[in-house]
Parts: sequence; structure tokens; C-alpha cells
Amino acid sequence: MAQAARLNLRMQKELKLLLTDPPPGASFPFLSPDSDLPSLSSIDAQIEGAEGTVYAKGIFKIKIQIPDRYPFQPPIVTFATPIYHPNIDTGGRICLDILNLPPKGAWQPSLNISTVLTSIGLLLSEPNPDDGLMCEASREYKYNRQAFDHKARAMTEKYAKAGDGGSSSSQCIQTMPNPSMVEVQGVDMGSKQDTTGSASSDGKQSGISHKLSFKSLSSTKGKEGDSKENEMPGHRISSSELENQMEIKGKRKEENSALNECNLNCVRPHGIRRKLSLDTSGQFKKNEDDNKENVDPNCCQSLYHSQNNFISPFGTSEQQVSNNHEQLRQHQDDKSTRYTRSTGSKPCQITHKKPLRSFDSCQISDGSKKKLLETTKPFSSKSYSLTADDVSPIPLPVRHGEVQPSEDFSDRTGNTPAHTKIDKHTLLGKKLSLGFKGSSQKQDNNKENVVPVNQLPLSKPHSPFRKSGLGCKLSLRTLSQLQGSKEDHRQSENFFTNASESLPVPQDSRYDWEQQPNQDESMKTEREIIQEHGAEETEGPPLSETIIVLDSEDSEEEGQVSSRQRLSLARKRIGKTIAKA
Amino acid sequence: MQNQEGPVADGEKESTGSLQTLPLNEFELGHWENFVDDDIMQQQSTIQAEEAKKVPFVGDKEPLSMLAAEYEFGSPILLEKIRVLGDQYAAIRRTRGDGNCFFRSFMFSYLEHIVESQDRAEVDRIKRNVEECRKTLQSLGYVDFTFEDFFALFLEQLESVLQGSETSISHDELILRSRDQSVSDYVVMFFRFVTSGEIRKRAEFFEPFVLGLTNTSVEQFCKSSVEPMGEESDHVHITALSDALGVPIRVVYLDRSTCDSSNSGVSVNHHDFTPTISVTNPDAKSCDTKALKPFITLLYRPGHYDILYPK
Repeated sequence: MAQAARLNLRMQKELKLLLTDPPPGASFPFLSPDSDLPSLSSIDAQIEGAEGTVYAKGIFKIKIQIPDRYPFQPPIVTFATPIYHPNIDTGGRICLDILNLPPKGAWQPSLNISTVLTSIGLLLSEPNPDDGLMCEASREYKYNRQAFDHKARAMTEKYAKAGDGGSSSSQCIQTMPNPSMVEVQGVDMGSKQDTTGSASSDGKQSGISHKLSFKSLSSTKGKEGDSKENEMPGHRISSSELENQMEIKGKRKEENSALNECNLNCVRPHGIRRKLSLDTSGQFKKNEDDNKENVDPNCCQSLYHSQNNFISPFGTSEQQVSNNHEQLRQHQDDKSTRYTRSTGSKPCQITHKKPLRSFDSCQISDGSKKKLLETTKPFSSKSYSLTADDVSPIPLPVRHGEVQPSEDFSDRTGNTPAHTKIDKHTLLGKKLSLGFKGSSQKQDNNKENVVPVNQLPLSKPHSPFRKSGLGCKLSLRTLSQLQGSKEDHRQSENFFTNASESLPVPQDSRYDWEQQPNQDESMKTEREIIQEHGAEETEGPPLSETIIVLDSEDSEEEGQVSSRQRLSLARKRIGKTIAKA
Repeated sequence: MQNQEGPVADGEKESTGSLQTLPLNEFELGHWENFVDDDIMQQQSTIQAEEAKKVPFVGDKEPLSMLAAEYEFGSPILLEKIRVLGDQYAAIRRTRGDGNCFFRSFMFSYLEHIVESQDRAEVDRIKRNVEECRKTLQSLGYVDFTFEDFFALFLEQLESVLQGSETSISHDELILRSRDQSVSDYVVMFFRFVTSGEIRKRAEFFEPFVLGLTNTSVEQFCKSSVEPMGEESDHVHITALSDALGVPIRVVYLDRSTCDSSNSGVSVNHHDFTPTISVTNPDAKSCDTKALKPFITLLYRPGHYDILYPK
């Protein structure tokens, strides 16, 4: 009792000091000198990143909880704003000696909240990578400062910018439940304790499920990779249709359950169906990441993992899987900036927010239509993703990179600049180049693959590439469609036509056998995409059916729809960008 | 279809297996890192809990024979020393071995002395010293509110052990309060503040001692070994506290060293921490007589201080 009163007294003094003489960079928007502060046990603070640091101009929310035995026990301080820092994990926990009691830490009752905040401010300016909480960030900070700076800036830009208080706060809340996401990912194979972990692992499974469907399809055809492409649309549709329907039902159920958990919890037990849905989420994630490229530092890792996971199943043999893993590690080790950012939180968020959507898209695309998958996903992610900038083509190249061990490195590095610097206006052009690159890569990859893996497994690695090439094309189009602004619109249209016609040519030379199907596919996919969008816009549930129907019949209305769709999309996009701005 | 599914299923198993175990390992690994620290903390708190069961912050007065019983099958030197101790000392009061034993022993011993002696002059004197310490801390840059609660609580105890006011407490009540964490810890922390302030204030004096003890700077020493609760005290602390408050302390050393000061056998050595008379203290002279004769006697066994009662 007496102690509680004393603590109360002390806290009032502390708060007074905090308000009258706040530590450098700190502010307390929710405290006022007059307020009673009925609960002194929790304080919300903000710290501004110091000028000249990677956190400059960032406003980081900090939660301070005062234990009963304060000041004998240290306050519990956590970051509520995601931050990329060697000593602060994704859960916002801070590795700072004075926040722990001896012998582990150096808290002493003579310290106070003000000194703690000052120390945290210093920690932001001077991370301590030797006592890192985040392995990856620490390593980067020490050995690849550029990468670290880039990620940290991107995170700051994304989460800690002043002005978007509302959204950032929501982000915070969502990220909090999954601490350790980034952390664990940083370690190597990202196993996340909670959401992400399951998501990623599930992603693997989903990848496998893909494989399954793949295989069955291919088996019917004899030639695996090729068979897929050669397959008649109708054929595909039927199989996919079944799956879609089933899945959608499953989805509905899931959706009804808690949004957050549906991905993780539901997915596991229900087996393949669920896995598929997972898959979508995973891929969704990927797209997300890519979209976020500029913005989001952490993304890459989780992406990495998930992607690897996805992909590995495609690689036929276990060996390949392991290869991928190793690759992964290598990638991480070499730490080039490129795709390495995926905020674990981001994907989660998105999936949380729109589980249905992502599911739907994935379901639809699932089954035989991998291509669709790729194309559609960017789309869906676009329409629902938070960030307006999206780079749909990127996911595909990324894939290339992941799947392909040696060559991809070079490819990747080549691509990287394009990815990282995407300007609204230049976007189109870059994407174009990217798309082409993708196709060219395709060639290379194919060659490579063919040589070593001519037998069974070959087709699988092969097919992803091809797909990706296609995907690039498609996504390019979609992009152009998306490119909403008027000036861009014209361009994009041009491009659009160009792409559809010109792109196949190079492919022609490469895959003679593919050509016809390719075009078909691209058309189809586009249609589907449009379809999907339409469906999505109208409502979720009917979506699948409409899509299927459209698919099966070669609809002529496609042109109309697409244009209309384009417009609406463009509008959407504009709205988004505006909102963002 | 059929034959394709077999291998695929296998692949699924394998890949999921490898993919899942790998993260799991990382997961565990990551956990382990935390575990080490947490284990330490947990073990420490377990030890403290055990200690707490055995001994309250401040125990009851026990005859010295109890101490002898503790070493019944122990070192003959210790037994002999305890026997020798019995010549001069009558009883022992144990304190909990939580790292604060010196400060807690000093707290209880001092307040008990005031309760029994009702020495108002001493109380006035120490209050002046306390005010001096307050200024010291302020000049060292401590924020007022970080220490004023502790100062206030100590002064409150000091007032209450003097009889004749509404808030006066009996000896029993003093024991109860000393066992109350919300009081006891605050007073201990007050002493820690005083000690830290004194060491910092006279950094050049304490530096060599600190260096010899921990090989760190004075500043670091105060941060890591004085101010945190539960950090054990050594002669640097005792010297500083004694000097800061102007209270002499006698420490009797009970260890297995053979102090053959005389050839006739073992003797128990002790050390008196006599406050250096500060020039700024105008009352220094009046305290002289007291300073020469410590009224606080602590029994030191390696790692622990208890209170000794002379005959």
C-alpha cells in the first residue's frame, strides 16, 4: 500500500519532469500535465530518430510499462513502431542493459524513465551490433552497412513517418502479436514463432501441394513442363474448377473464423486444401514484398524463405530443396540489398485484412493455372495492398532468382537497381525492361536447366521459369492497366498492345512448341484476371464461378471488360496513391 | 496419376520435414539464448526465495551458541574463533543473504541503536549528514525525484524511532518494518545512494580501492556495484557509507584465517571503519567520542554480514 502510494508519487514526479524537460527527441502526445493519469503504470512515448541517422524523421512509438516495484525493477519498454535495428526485435523488445535487472542487465533504481528514453535515443543513433538481438540486422550493420541502412530507412519510411499516424498505429498493433518474425528470419531459415512461422512453413506445404497438382496434370500429359502449357484450356479449367470450388467452400469457413488465425490455424489441420490457401497467402506475401520493395526492408527475408519453400517443392528432388536452402543461405550471406526485404508483419497484415481475397485469388489460380496464379496475384495484391507502388513484374524475376542457383545471382544483381528504384513515371519503362529481361532470363535458365536435368525433374524447374516469363509479360500488361494516370494510360495502352504482340516473338524463337499455348494463355490469363477483378469488385463468393465460366467459354467481351476494368482499376490506383500521398 | 502421387507424397514428407525441423532448430536456438539469461534470473530468484524462507530480511536475535552450532562439524578454527567471539559478544541477528545484507544490517543496527539510546543529538547529526548527501547527489547530477523518496523514507524512519511523537514506533515495530520490503528496500536503497554519492564525490580517494576491487572506473563501479539492489558490499562501500553518514562501523571477521597476532592461539580480528572527519562538518568535534567507539558491530563471514551484539 505504502509502496503503491510512493510509486504513484514518484511517477507523478517523473511525468512532470518528462513533460517539462523531455529527453532529446522524445515526446508524450498522450500525456498532459493536468491529467490525473489514472493509470500511471503505462506511458506512451514517442522518440524521433536523430538527424543524420537512418531513423531520421521517423517517429517511433514506445510503450513504457511501470512495474509495481519500480524503481527497484526496471520499466518495461517496447517499441510499438516496427523498426529495423540490431537491438530491437520485431516484437519491439529492446536489448538494452539498463532495461534489465542485474546480473543480466544494469538497471538501477537511480535511473528513471527519462534516462531510459535518453538511452534508447542513443541506441537508435548508436546500435550495438555486438550484442544484437536481431542476428541479420546485426550482421548487416557490421558487415554490410549499406544494406542495413537501406532497410532501416525503408522501415522508417514505411512505419515511422509522421503523418500517417492512423495507419501506422494499426500496423503497430498488428505487428506486435508476432514478435520474432524478423528475428527468426534473420537467423536463417525463417521459422517464426507465430504467425509468420506457420505461414512460411505452410507455404512450403502449399508449394508441395502445387507440386501435386502439377504432377497429376503433367502425368496425364506425359511431358511435364511442356504438357502444362500445351494443355488445352478446357482441360485445365475442369480440373481447376473442381479444386476451386472445393477450396472456395473451405475458404468461406475459414473466413468466418477469426481473421487473424485463419491462415495459420485453420490451414494446418485441413490438409491440402488449406495448404493451397496457404500457398496463396504465401505468394501473396511475395507479391507484397515485391510491391513493397522500396518501402519495406525486412520483407526480403521472409520472402526469401517462403519463396524458397514454394519453389523447392517444384524442384523435384530433395537435393534441389537442399540446394535451395543453401542458396538461400548464400543469398543471405552475401546480403546484397535486392530482394531482401519482407516485413513479416506486412504479409500478415495483409492476409489478416483480406484473407478472403487472397484466398480467392489463390484458389482460383490454383491447380493447373500456375500462370494465372502469378499474374492474378500481383493483381489482387495490388488492389488490396497498402502501398500504392506495386511492381507486379518483379515477383517473377524474383522467382527466377530463387530457383536458379548460379545464374540468378547475376540476373538478380542486374535487376536489382530496377527493382529498387521505381519511380511512378519511369515505372512503366522499367517494368518493360524487366519483363523483357525476364523473358531473356528465361532462355538462359532453360538452357541451364535443360543441360543438367533433362530427365524427370527437369520439367519442374523449367515450368516455373516459363511461367515466370509469361507472368512477366502478363504482369506487365496488368501493370500498364493499372497505371492509372492519364499520361500513363496512353503509354500503357500502347505498351499493352505492344506487349501482347511483341513479347511472344522472342518467346517464339525460344520455345517453338510453346508459342501457341503461350499466347492462348496470356490471353486467357488476362481475361481471367479481369474477370477476377470484376468478381472481386462485385463480391467475393460468386467470384470463382464467374471466373470459371468465363474461362471455359472464349469470351469476346473480354476486350470491353478489360478496358472497363482498366479504367476502374486506374481509378482505384489513383485513389490509392492520392490517399497515400 | 497413381504412381506419380507416391513420390510426390514422399517429397512432401521430406521437404516439410526438413523445412520444419530447420526452423524449429532455429527457434529453439533463439530460445536458448534467451534462456541462459532467464535461467540466471530464475535461478537467482529461486535462491532468493529459498533465502527468504530461511531468513527474513532481518532475523531474530540469537545467542552466539546458535552460530557455533552451525559450525559443529566445521573448521576447528572457526569454532575456536566463535568461542573467542563469545568472550566479547552475546548475540547475533542474522540478515538475509540477498546481497543487501550489509546495508540491511547497518540499517537495523543503526535504527535499533537510536531506539534504544534515544540519542537525539545523533539523530540531528545524521540528519545534517543526510542533507549533505542530498547536496552531493544533486551536485553529481542526480535528478531529485530519483532519490528523494528514499531519503524521505529514511528520515521518516529516523523520526519514528525517536519516542515521543505520534509516529513513534517500538522496537518490535522496527523489526516489523525492517522485514517489510516496501520499507526495508527503500532504506537500503537510500544507503546505496548515499554510498554511491560519497564514492563519486571523492572519486580520487576511492579510485585505487575501486581499481583493486573490480578494475573498473569509479563511475562504472557505482553503476554496477553500488546502486543496483542486491549488489554485495565490500570495504569500499562500508568506508564510503561510514564516511558519508559519519557513523563508525566495526566489522568482525570470522573466517578460517589464523590470525596469530598472539602466539597463544587464534584471535578474531576486526576492523573499525571510522568516519574521516570532514572539514566542512562543524559538528565533527562533538562526534569525536562517538566516532571512536563504534556502536554498530557487524559480523563478517565471507560473503555475508550479520549483526553482532556485544555483551
